[in-house]
Amino acid sequence: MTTPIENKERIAVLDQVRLKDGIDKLKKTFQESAAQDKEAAVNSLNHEALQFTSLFLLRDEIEKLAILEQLSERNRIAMEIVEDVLSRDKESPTASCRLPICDYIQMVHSVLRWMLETGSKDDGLSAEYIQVLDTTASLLTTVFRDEMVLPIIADLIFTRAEKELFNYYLIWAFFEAREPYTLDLIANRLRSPRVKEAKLARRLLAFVPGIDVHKDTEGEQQYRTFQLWLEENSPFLHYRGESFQETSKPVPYDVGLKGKYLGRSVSVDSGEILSPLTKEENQILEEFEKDDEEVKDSIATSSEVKRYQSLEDWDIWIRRPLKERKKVEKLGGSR
Amino acid sequence: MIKIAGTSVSPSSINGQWPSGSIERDIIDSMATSEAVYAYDSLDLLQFELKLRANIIAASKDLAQSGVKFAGFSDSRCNLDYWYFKANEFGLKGFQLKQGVKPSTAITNIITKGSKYAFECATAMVIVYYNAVFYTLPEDTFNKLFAGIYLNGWNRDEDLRFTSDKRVDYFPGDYMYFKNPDVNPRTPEWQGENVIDLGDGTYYGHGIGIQTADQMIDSLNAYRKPGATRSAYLMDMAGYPDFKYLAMHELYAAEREVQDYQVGWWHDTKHGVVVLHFNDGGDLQIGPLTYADYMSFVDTLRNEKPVYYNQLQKVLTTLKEPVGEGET
Repeated sequence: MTTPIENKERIAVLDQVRLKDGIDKLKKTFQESAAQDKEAAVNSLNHEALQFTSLFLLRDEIEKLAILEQLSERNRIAMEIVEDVLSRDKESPTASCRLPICDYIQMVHSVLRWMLETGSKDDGLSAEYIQVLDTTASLLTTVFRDEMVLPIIADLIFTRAEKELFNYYLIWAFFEAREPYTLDLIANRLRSPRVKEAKLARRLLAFVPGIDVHKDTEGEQQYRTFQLWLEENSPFLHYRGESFQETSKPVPYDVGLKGKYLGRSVSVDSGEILSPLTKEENQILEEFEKDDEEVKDSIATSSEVKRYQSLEDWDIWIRRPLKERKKVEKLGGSR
Repeated sequence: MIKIAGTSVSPSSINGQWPSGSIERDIIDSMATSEAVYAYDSLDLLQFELKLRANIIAASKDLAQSGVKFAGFSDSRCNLDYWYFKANEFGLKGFQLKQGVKPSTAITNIITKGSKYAFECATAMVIVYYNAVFYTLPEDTFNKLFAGIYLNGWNRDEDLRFTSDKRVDYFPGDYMYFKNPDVNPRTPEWQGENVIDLGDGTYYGHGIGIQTADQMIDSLNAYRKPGATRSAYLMDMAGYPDFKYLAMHELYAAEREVQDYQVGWWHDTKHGVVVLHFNDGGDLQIGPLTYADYMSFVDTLRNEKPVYYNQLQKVLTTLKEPVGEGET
């Protein structure tokens, strides 16, 4: 795992200049340094602790000096990614691969992480910078399925909402991680005292029963509602991939009811039960499948509650004919 | 099966006003032969739905030929004479109607001056529906209903009342979605395409144009990630506006003069029913009514003449002008 830059004690000279004196001074310092000693300027870019933001801001200077080939693998790959992202309608540059292909793949992953980890602090620098960070995030979540970057992406989404910056595709990339943990990262914000943050959290979690987009006074209660729902359903969540492009009220996850009914984890991608079933379990599911969705939802929840209360009693209950159990429950045998 | 006021009707008894091969006739035939029941309170309501569906198709074709460009959310543009940019909580720049501009003027401007606009496919769908409703309703009614239009993705006025669900039948004028599950992360705007079903085997999708389902799928597949294994596909669900609600604004927005009436009070169940016969030939049954409401109807009908009924506002009045809208 790449260590986040915050944990490193060293700071690159170019970052020092940028953070202390701003972007213009960074460019001027780099130009002067290159005029005096090109190799030293290249070395300052290749400094291990350099943050992505400085490299991004010096793109024009790097091109003018024609020093791309002298850059480190990390910087060269990052420059190629930036060029690729920003030239979407043109022909993409072919990656210049100096590493063996297996190392190259791992290097690209590390570089993408470095770009997001060190570059996210300066989010909003420009529309181009936002586009680069968005694509970086989506490559990390969709191609590399990298869960470690999810907290950074969640922070970016909510800080952008605060600043009214474009976060639509970043939200898509975040959910495309297909990881129910993303929901927890959003839910924490339901309790936020910041109005925009809490509102966006409610909007993103509006598919969870009990989360009301319009109720801005019950953050704590909505958070508890969410936690109870997640506790009850997390092993059974199925990613549907519904996004805000498709509908104004997307339902990114639903509950795999067959799994919930039998108490078996489901695949987040397909919603199907992961482990093999016995003949008897298949028969139990066959009977269950005959009901409509609303009834199945109610029976699956009932099953989950019973299993939680007593595994022994549940084991007896689940083997009885469904028709008989439904009749008993109508008489008040269960919730 | 089609039911009008509770009675099933054959297609031949209602489709005479549309030429053979028209969209309206095709829809009626599909409804009539379906296992689902399509129930309408009156023939007017069915006719309105057919008219609006035909206008959705017309508005789709108009927008396709208008010269509007496709743009991602960050690059959208509009005619600033009528709209201004307003961001929502996702930082998406939407188009908010300017104060003093008629909604009808601004919404039709997108079609007449298409080159001044650029937006993505969800916004395009909402624009199609606004224009189709404008083609269908009287202009004044449209402007009252949609006074504060804000175009931004699927954001729309509550009065369009969209529903989206999985159904037995889909009809021309429905909006659908081609999903691209293996989209390349470099081009997230191609994660899917919102389309209007044009009823002739083609679909309108903003940015792609009018194409068959196979062509739509090919277009989206071109934006998949390298090595993708899943094809784009048409999702088995569709959306549509609340036809009945919108119909009320065309059919029943005005006062209708009551020519005659019948009343009845059911003593055992303690409820009343009033049937109004209008001078335009239409009838309306109102009830069940409480005793107080029933007596109030009876009193006005017996003692006043002329009497008018506004079905949208549910007002029985002696004033021809809508209540609350006259000059003071």
